[in-house]
Amino acid sequence: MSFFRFALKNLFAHRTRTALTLVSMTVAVAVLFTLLSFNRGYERGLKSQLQAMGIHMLVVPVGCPYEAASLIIKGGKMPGYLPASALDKVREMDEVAVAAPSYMGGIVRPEEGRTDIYLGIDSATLALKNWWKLRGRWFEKPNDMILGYDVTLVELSHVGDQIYLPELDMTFDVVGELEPTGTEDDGFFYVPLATAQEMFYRLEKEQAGADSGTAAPARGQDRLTAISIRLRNPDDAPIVTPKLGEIKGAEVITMGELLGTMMSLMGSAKALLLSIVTIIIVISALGVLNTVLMSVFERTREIGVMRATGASQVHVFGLVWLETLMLSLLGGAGGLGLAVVGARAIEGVVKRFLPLAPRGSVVALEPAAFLIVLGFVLGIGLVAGFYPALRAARARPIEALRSE
Amino acid sequence: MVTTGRSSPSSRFGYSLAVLVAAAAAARGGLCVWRSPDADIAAIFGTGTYKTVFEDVTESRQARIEERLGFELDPDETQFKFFPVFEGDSLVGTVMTHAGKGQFGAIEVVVAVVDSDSGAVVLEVRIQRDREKAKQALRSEAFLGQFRGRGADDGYTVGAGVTAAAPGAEVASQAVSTAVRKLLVVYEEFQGDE
Repeated sequence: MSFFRFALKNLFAHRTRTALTLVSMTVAVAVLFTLLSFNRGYERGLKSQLQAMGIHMLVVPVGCPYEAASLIIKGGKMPGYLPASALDKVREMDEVAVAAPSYMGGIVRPEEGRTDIYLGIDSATLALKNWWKLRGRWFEKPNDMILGYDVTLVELSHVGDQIYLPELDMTFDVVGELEPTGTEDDGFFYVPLATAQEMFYRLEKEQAGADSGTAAPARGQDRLTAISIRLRNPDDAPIVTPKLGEIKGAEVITMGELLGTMMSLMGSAKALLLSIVTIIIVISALGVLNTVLMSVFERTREIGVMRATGASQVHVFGLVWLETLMLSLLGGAGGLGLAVVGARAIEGVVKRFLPLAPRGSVVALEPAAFLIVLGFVLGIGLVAGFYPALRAARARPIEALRSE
Repeated sequence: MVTTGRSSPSSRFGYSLAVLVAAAAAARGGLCVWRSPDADIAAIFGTGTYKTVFEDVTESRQARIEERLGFELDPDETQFKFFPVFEGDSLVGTVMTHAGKGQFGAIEVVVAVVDSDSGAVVLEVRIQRDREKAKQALRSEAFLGQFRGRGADDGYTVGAGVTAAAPGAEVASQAVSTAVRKLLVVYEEFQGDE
């Protein structure tokens, strides 16, 4: 009987125990392989989504963009704005294909526990976000409004309806609604740029009037909260960035930086998941060790017979180690199969725990991940099997034969 | 030229059309969250505690409700939420919420009902969210108070049993009125199964 068949026979002698060990190995390998594949797929997905956005750079007012976003959501006064002249300077650059100005402002509704976010845009945004699917039409009048998909659900409003803004006594005609984009675009009330500038200028003016210590704001038309830029050639970003940085009061955010921020935000969640996987791996390794060690204890007499009939220590060591390796490899194969078959389901669970997940598949089943998992499986087999194999090999034949 | 209190046929037609459109629009609304339970309980019942009861809409229930309402439930109205309010161990009323379409966006209504010999009647109606021009009038006692004591089979048409909150607020008023009737019908249907 060959070593291989002998080892297999020993494993099948305790089917339940072997099966349970295989299950734990399978799960550990499946989770590890999915996480490794997920890491690559996530980064690739984010990159492709950012590229698909068609925006290569953002020009925003100097300051912390997170603070600005927080202020908008809370309805606070922005610490600074981009001057409208910045748009002209951006558009003068030969490398810039599209420059879309925007003005974002929030109207807080504390009794509803939400903030209506208005985004003033012009037709350049439509050129920039050419993946938008718009039902209805584009702005023609100052009080035209386009609703993001989520807003249509919250306000139960669609093309042909009207939206009233009591804070400014303004009535908007809903002329368009966006089909779901799966992005933050779904949550905005879109109005013409000049309308948004005027709306929030009036709000600030009223606020300044109420608070006599506050200076009246600059004219609304002079202010922008961002300029989104698409370059003719994305590789020109390093050339354009310093030029944009020369604009007074402007800060440039490249998509590369945005990707880095997103990846670092994901880092902590990923670290948590990897910690959990490490624990699963340790438990499964201990499971393998326990299974093989118990098998060695139960077969002490058998090992004694083998040694007495001529088997060397190397033979016994090799046999037990082979059993462990086979157990690990079978579990590994099962885990890889499970990961491939159940990638979508596992992906759904993993995505739930990670922030800023891009749309579409974020699991990339790659050979590199396969090799890492194979190495991990062999590692577990070799390490977990070493002690039981050593113990079996060191058994003295006389004592082994005496054992019950 | 002689003027009378009656409106012309064309204006009545226009008015009826507006009410019909409003009723159909209001019927499209879905159920919503109860945003300020403590404040509403204090205003309606004085004191009390509440619990949340979920009830699934079976096909037979849906058919009965839609037959009584005269219009279809929203596709997402597959479950209703009831908030029975207790003072000690005694049930003092049940609160329900509804989001319907007004003239300028969604109107969220909170309705408290109590059981009477003739069926469920309205104890109180409150508006928890809207963006209507006639916001104050819509939330006024003059408008909302007229629903108090009404049952599901009473009149709920604005202009014929219900007075609009303000001139020009007929669509929003009808949205509120339709929501109240809808919740009463739903309440009675689920009560009937108990």
